[in-house]
Amino acid sequence: MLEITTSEDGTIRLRGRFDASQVKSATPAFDGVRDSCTVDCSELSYISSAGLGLLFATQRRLIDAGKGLRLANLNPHIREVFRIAGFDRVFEIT
Amino acid sequence: MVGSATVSREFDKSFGALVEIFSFLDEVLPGSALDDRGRFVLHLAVEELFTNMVKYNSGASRRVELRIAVEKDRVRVDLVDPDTDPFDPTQLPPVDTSAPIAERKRGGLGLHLIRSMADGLDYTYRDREMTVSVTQHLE
Repeated sequence: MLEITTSEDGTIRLRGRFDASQVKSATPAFDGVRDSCTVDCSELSYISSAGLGLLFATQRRLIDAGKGLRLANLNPHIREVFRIAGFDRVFEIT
Repeated sequence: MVGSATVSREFDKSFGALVEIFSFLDEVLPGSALDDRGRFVLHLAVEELFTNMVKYNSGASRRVELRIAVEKDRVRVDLVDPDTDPFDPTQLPPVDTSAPIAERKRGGLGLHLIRSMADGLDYTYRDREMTVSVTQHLE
């Protein structure tokens, strides 16, 4: 299960597991992102290539508009996934 | 569970089965001998291999069997599709993860992650039955 909440300052918080079964329900939230923002992953426990794909598509759309996602507080396993995918060069990761 | 025990279960070939599959993995994978990373890698590998079967495998079978074998020093998870055309995930070309964002191509990332993170990935095919196996060493 994946929960997505957006705070008043625009920060997107992900909580739970971002697997292939969650992409359909998560897509509207990311399609609605129009400006640079932080994605807080401190409560994200898991991600697969399906979740990466949605983040990547969002990032590509934002970069085309001169904006981008910043990913924060990735756990070590998710950070390793981003590194192996080469996404540490696609996203600003703090 | 440690000591060559094998447990199997069948799942519908649909994305909706993932919740049951993750529960099955948590139920069967050894608690103390498999560290958090090993557990993460097996969840990731099984999801990537299973969803590939959902998306791409042909044939009449609507079920995929998962077999989890806990051996002395490793865990092996077999995903078995009893009726499909051959597709060997161990023979795919590498993904160019250094390409600029505008030039990156879709596809292959899940298998790239498995091949980079899991301790082993094997494939067998006989009489239209495909078995893909992922292994992870125990501490």
